[in-house]
Amino acid sequence: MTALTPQEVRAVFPLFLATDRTLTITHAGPAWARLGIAPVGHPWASLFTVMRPHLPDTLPATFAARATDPFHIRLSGHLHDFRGQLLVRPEGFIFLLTPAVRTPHDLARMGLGLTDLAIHDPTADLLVYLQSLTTALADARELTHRLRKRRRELSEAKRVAEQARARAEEAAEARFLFLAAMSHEIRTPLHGVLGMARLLDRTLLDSTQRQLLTTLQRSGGTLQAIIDDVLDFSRLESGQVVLDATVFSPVEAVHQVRDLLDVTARDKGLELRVHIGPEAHRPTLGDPHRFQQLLLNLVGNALKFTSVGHVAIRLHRTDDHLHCAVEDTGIGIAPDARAHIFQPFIQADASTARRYGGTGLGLGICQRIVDAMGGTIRLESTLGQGTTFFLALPMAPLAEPVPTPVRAPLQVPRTRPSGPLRVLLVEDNEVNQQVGRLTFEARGWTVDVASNGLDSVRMAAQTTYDVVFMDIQMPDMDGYEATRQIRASCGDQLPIVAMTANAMPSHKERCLQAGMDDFLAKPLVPGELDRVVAALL
Amino acid sequence: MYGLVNRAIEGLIRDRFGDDTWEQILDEANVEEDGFVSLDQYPDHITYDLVGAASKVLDTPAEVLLRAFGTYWTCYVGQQGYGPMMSLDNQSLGQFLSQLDALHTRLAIQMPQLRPPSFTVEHPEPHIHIVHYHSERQGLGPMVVGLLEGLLELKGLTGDVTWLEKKGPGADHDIFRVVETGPRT
Repeated sequence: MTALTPQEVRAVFPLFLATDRTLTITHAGPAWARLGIAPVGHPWASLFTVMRPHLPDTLPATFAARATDPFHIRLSGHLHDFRGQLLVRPEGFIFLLTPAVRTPHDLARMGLGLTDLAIHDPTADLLVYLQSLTTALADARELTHRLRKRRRELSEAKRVAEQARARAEEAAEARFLFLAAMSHEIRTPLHGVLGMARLLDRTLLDSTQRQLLTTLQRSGGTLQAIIDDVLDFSRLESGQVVLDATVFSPVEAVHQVRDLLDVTARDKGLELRVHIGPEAHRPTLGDPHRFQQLLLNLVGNALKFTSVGHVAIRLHRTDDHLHCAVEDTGIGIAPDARAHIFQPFIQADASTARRYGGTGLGLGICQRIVDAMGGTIRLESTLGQGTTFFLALPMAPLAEPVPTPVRAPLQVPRTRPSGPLRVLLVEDNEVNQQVGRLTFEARGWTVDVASNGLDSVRMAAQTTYDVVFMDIQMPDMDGYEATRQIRASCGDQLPIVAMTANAMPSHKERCLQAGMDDFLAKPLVPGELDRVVAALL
Repeated sequence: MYGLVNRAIEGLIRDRFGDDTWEQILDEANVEEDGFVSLDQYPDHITYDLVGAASKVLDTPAEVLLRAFGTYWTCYVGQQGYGPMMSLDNQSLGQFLSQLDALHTRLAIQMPQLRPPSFTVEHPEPHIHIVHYHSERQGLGPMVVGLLEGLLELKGLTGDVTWLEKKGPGADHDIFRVVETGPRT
């Protein structure tokens, strides 16, 4: 192997130093100039200090004796350290050195760069690697900071959303309470109006008077339907609706709707068809009343907006969904109206509202019921040819038909009185006292009237009644408390029926909890009174 | 492409155009990364998608953005700690350019998936440098122009960068000429 030329030595060891036998520097690598020093001609010991190995002196013989050891030397006055090895040559010594650095910044502090290191020197690669680690650490810090910031933002967003939700719920609750109060205030006089109209209907009237009375009753009924819709929509909006989960037959529900609306269809000369898919006969778990309400709204709408042809209800199911389509051959819905047809108080256009009436709440209620059920509702329509609404409800079929559970009787069996009924009407409104009295007397019953809860407790203790009809909102003592006190003094045998303009399901529940046996909402629906009394006695 | 490049693009956009613009560009590029990791490897298309989206959002030609990015890149890698190692301060521009290839070789050893470009440099005159740029990636020539302009700026020099020859049929690489015209005042 041939010796390296001086140029090759300079290229391979940019920081080499060569000395003569007296340790005076005779040659130096090119990188020393970048450190700002010119070592040639200087005694080695005047520029450098040996840090390791420990040498007792700097005599050439001492250096020569440690030629096989690694050397750590320092450039005096600069704190620049180098490591390397010593070669002993006949003409003197050669120090092959490289910067002793731990970080890229150490190298930069010396005024050197990667290119000042020998190509074969792994220090350069090590520094690049260390820089990569530093970069990775900086990334980790920065990304962690970003994550913390995002977490704070998310937390703040959640807090704001929570506040907004709470405010929305409060607003919905307030609106619901307002509507419930308004409902009560409207139902109370409406009960008087419709009750009086019913009593008037039993009297001798000429044809004009009867026609006027019919209009009065129809208008009252419409007003009551509007109140029911507004209140129901408000309950759905405020999230106060809890769906039942009971076993029911969807087919039976469809047939009941058909039975209810068939008369209306026939009156308009329309055919009301029902198509049931074979797999739809299996019972399912869900809320039968809300399911029926959906159908009543959709079929009622279809009948309203159809003058020729038919309305059809199609029921079928897939594995986990019940599908129902309500199809009509009516006026159809214009494309631009379809997008907002499910919004509350919206009808296809103003002329529709004028011509067909209604609050525009029916489809809004349907949408919200379907949402609460976790289903979907959509429509297809051709203007002038008809509309079909499609419901898809997540109601899985039950494996085996399950008989509808029989409701337990509300009270212990009672003995029906042999003679005319003696009833106590508890009612603070004078008009409704009169309506109630005349309604009951028309059935041959004997009627006592208590104007408030306190009187009713006293009278129930003094007289034996067959039934008590109890208003709820009354001065001095409300119907709940009066019922509790009557139950305490008269026991469970006396049937007590709520008769109130507080018509919400929650009100009914509260009445039953207070000890009442059944519930009649004002205005009274014809037939309901007789049904309830027949069930109790 | 290493995340370092994507982070630099992010840095350029955030610095010059704000955080909202960067979010817009991420949306436009359909890139769901919430933060790039410098030494992670990302598909090249992400980088190209980001440049394309930035071009659209900022209504600026991609070539102009890449050139600006090249200039930004020289500062960015310096700030990331690679600057001192490159020892730009202690060398002339010509010396530095001559060592660019060696630097990329060392980086490629540490980052095996880097696929870095290769440079050869000629110095026909003391202040004129001919840079031959070899890359397997397409369309990054404008970025090299910006990078060379950035180096002139970092060295405190005025000068011109000319794209002499573009890679394409009959040319397997790009060639640039850098002319130093004097110190920057």
